[in-house]
Amino acid sequence: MSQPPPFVLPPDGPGSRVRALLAGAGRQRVAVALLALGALLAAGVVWARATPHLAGPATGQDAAGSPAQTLPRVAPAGPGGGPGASAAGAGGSAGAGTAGPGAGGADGRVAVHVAGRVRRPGLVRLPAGSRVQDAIRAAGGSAAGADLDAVNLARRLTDGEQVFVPGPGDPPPPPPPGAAADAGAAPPAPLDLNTATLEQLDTLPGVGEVTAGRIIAYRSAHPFTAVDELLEVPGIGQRRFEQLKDLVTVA
Amino acid sequence: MTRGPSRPTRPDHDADPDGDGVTLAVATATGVALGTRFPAAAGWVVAAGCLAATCLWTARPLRRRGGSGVAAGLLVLGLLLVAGGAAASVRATAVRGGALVGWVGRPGRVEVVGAVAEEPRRLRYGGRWVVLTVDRVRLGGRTRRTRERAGVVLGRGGGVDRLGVGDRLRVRASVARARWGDALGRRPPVVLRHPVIEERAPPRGAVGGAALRASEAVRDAARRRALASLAPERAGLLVGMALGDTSLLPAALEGEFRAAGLTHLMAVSGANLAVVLAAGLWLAGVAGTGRRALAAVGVALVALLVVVTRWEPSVLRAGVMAGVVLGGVASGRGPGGRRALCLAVVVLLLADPALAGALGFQLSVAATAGVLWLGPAAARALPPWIPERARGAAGMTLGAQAVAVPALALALGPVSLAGLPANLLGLPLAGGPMLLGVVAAATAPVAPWVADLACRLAEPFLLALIAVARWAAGLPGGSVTLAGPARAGPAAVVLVALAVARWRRSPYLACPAGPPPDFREDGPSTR
Repeated sequence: MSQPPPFVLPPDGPGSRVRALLAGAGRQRVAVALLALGALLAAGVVWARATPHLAGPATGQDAAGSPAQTLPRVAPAGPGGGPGASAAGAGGSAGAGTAGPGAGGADGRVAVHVAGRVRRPGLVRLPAGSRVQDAIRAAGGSAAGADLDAVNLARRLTDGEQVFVPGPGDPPPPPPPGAAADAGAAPPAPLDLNTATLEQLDTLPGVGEVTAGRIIAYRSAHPFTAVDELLEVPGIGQRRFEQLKDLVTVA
Repeated sequence: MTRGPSRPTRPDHDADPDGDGVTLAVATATGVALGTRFPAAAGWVVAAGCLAATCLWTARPLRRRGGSGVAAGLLVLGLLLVAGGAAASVRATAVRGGALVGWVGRPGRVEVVGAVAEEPRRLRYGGRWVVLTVDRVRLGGRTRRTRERAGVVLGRGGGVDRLGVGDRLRVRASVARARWGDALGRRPPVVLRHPVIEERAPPRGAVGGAALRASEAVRDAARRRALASLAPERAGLLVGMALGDTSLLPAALEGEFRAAGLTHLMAVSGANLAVVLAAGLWLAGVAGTGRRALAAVGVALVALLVVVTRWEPSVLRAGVMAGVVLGGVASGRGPGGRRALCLAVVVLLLADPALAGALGFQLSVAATAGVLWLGPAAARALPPWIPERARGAAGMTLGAQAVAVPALALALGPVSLAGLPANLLGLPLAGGPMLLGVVAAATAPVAPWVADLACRLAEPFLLALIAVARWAAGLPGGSVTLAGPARAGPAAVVLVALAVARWRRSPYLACPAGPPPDFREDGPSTR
């Protein structure tokens, strides 16, 4: 590289200065200097891109909207659940399921279909943690003849569910398909991880006294903000989480 | 990584212009190391800017070489050192300032959106180690744009097996510090724990995404063609050797190749490039192409192979090096393997200092340096009854092994004693599958029958290679794992051997007249 140049251009002629500069004694220095400047430029670009900055206004809409744009909807790949994950659980969680009440961090709202004896039946969107009564109110309130005693007005809403307000002649609401295995029993309302007692947690499938105790120990250290934080609790792996995630919620 | 270049055996100091190249590469690498260790980015950048300006200023043709030669050399070396330091320190600063790094140790979950950065690595129990280039992080209720790397272990099932470079994921997880992260972020500084994949999407981006999708299509077609025309283990070996894709390789066979010290065949590197270039350029030469057109064909082939193999570090190194060599050929200055290696190291380190910490890059530089510096001497030291070409090939293998084995032992510990005979037997066989596999991949999407033919032509080579690997893996003491100070053993052995050889063939290890100009060391035909 430091060999004398194999040929020397005549010092005159068009562009001779530049060519002499490149071909002459300083060729290596010019090349190295340009290389170094290029490296500085590249490093600057890397630094500018790596420095975290807010992506526009931090509204819930932004957070939910932009990843969805970058990632066209496909069936979510269940990660570690393995073949053991129940088909019903996987089916129920496909699509909007992961954006449910707990994971509702996506936009912090739930969408509920209010049907039956209400003034404006249809889809309503409410803040996560709202009750059935809020949903009925959002649907214009109960219509004449609504049998509000047949509905648990205090129940916390989950994303994607249907609230049916029966009239006098209507049959009792059918249980949601996921709960069909419970032989007609009313679907248990999702358990709030932050308020459930040890005994209530104990009733969850795959959760014994020890795990329930760990859940409570975890939440006394840092309260749950999302359902999938259950994965941080020692003893709850991907498979157990798949069973639990639709049965619990976070207010 | 400069282990090889920094300890050259100089055949003849005056006839060896490569000494310069070595010092340039060493200066850059030193700068990168210093910048990583002392990441005061502003200082490095200012110093680099000043030196670059000085270089440009003093490079005016009015000052001739001669009197200021030493000063000019020192200036160039200093500039490269400082530029390496600047590049490394800026990146180290960026890595430390990452959004995820700042979140380590906090209890909440984060949501990240990112693209798979490298080929996912298969873990022992069936999971995958996936490195993401994260471009969006949602934590603490706010979404931030960023650009940092994060590792995540994904379990089996759920289509994770089919995850390829560039695939985009949205993952919720908690953040923990990675134990093995490096300062420049090549090995990610954070790990996403307890991941829940929320969404998955194909690569995006106009150029990069299209290239990745095209490359995945080619690789997929090649996999299917290979499986259709070969037995599974041979198909896996062919795809691994030609494209570096080990997803089809049975674990047992992979273990045998590791025990035989032949795993490097499964990493695409300069050897693949050399074989493909040699064949392509020969074809073009037969067709009567001119010198410049030949170089253009070569560059096109290099670009093609780099894209199809997803720019692994060793491929990048070989690609830049081949580019330098081809540039030399096209401009009529002739190839220069050693100089090309040094230049490639300088350019790559300045462009991406994190490469310095990539074992694949270190090993391939070390092995190439071994081929270029020790290979010719080793070939000459072999008994003369061996044919010239076989001696050259064996010398290259010996040279590469003499550097790569100690380097690998120093870095990780395993030493394959069977590696030497396995490589001597296996390397001559490897060229066939490397070339035919690329031919099969290139033709699989358009002319499946050509691909099938190429696969079948490669079959005898694959059978022989598998036989060699099985035989070598079965040798007693085939694979030994060193620990502690014993790791330096192979390096010491090689150094002692070199010293003895030098002493016995005083004054020089190599021939006194310097390497003949047409010796194969100077072609791109390196590992």
